[in-house]
Amino acid sequence: MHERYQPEGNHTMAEKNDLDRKRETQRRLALLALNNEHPQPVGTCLKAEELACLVEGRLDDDQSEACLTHIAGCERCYSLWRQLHRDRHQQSGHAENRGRLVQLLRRPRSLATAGSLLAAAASIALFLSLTMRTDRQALMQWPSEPLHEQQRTLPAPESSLNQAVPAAPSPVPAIQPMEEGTKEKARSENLRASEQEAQPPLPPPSLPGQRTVPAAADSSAAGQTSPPLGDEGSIAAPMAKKQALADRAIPAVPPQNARHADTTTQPRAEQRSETGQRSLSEWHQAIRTGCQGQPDSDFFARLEQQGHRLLTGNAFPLLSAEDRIRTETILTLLAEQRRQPADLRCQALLQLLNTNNR
Amino acid sequence: MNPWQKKALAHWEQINRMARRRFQHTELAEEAALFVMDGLARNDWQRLRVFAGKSSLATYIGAVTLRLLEDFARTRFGRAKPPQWIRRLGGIWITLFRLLCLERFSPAEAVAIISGQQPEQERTVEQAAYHILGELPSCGEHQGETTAFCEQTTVPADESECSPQEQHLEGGQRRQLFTILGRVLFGDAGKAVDARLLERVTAAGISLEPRERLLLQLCYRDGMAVAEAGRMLGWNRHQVHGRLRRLLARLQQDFAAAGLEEELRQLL
Repeated sequence: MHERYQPEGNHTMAEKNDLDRKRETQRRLALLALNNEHPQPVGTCLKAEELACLVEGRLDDDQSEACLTHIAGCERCYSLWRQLHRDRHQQSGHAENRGRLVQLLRRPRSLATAGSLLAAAASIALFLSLTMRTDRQALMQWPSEPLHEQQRTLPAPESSLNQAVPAAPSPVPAIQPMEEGTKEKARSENLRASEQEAQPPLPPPSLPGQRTVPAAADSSAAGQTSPPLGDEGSIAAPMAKKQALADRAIPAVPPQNARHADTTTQPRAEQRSETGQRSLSEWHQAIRTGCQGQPDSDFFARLEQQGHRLLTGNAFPLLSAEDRIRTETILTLLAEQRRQPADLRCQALLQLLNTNNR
Repeated sequence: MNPWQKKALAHWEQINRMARRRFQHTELAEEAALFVMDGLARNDWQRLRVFAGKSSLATYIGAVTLRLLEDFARTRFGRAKPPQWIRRLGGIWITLFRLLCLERFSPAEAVAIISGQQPEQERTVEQAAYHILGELPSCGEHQGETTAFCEQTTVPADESECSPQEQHLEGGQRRQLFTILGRVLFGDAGKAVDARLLERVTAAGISLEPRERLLLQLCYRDGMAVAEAGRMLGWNRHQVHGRLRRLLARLQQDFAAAGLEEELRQLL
């Protein structure tokens, strides 16, 4: 006869059943033995401190034996002993878990792992910070806003750049860090010196979404004192401080009508415009804005001059090689198409700018 | 502030936790915890002042608290004498009887109070609870009316101790007792167990040392893990398993020596 094949699972199941049966047999045997005798409690019930010492294992053998002998015959002391032991065991279990955590943290290997993880996290944070900073700088230099978007937000430009394009109040003022503002100041001062020698200055167009620093705002930013804090106390104070710092770093663009109404700040702003504060992005924006209207040959001549100043002046020591190449390309195009009609020149320029932006 | 009062208040969280575990319901537990504090404060913190420092104060306060919580339960719910078969079984059976029939906890609550989140013990306690409810259909019906003793009654230290008259009366119920014991000890198979056979086996005169008895009670009656029972008795894991194995072998030999080998084989 063939032996029937039994899979391994059946073996374990059979073993488990055997084990269960054995345990049940042992339980019955034990209960029969327990029901065989009825011991009477020996001595008096345990005092609370004796019970506590027994549970903590602080009694010597004789004392311990005496206590257990009594407990074996006294249901009340037995119940207290069991409950106290359980309570203490659970307490020590919690403490043990805490101890395990502390032990884990104290292990050198755990510390090394934790250190490695922290280092990795710091590296990622640094990388992200640098990447975002670079992106932000690139955004400041090359406005990515499409042309039709700018047309929507800008009022119709005047025929030339000599007339300042009024700035449309941006729905969301562009946020620039303090560093950028400082750089702009340095650039404008360098440009101011070179422009005074070269030609009558051009009024800068106010660009949409770009921060314009009116004199009043500037002065308030420079000499601004924190407003007196209310009695709200400790929570309000740090918030007010934070707001004041933010305001100082990022002066808000004043509303257009307010700017027009403020006659005291107007000459200063114009003076600043006349010094020819131009950044590369502003130059590009000026090209776009000028080409929206009907530019004349003077417009293109001024563009060429500004472009040359961007390349040769000291105002832009931070101009990257790529930006230089782009600027040179635009200047070459301007030089090559001097005899072309204005609309064709503008078309070619805008096409080149858009290509560069992409 | 009294230094003992300070110490008691420092253990307030422990007292509160023990009261919650004992009574489950929040309001009752709070009342019980306040009862414990009153008990500690009585006679100028007498219960704490007798502390000699042999154990840790936390464990000592734990022991006192357990006693006071049982006092509170008796004050609140009265006393009731369990049936003889429950007294005979003892241990968790008596506790379960009080919780279910006197304090009227639900079976789940009673199991939680006794087993204290120990799954291996939970199953045993749960089975015992349903046995009690099955054998005592009137369990918990007459709360406060069937109190056998009032709080002022002096009760003998051993509750299982019966007067001779009671013992005589109980003699007539012995057959019924072993029938119930048969059902409890052997489950469904207990229905087929002859009560006389069981009575003969339980009268074999097997004697146990206190530790041996406690070991069997903890492991097989109250459903505690063997290692845990060993820890309570001062033995390590290997010692307790070895002792238990030898004890069970010896018990079989003792039954055989008493001429009950065949009866034992039938019962097991």
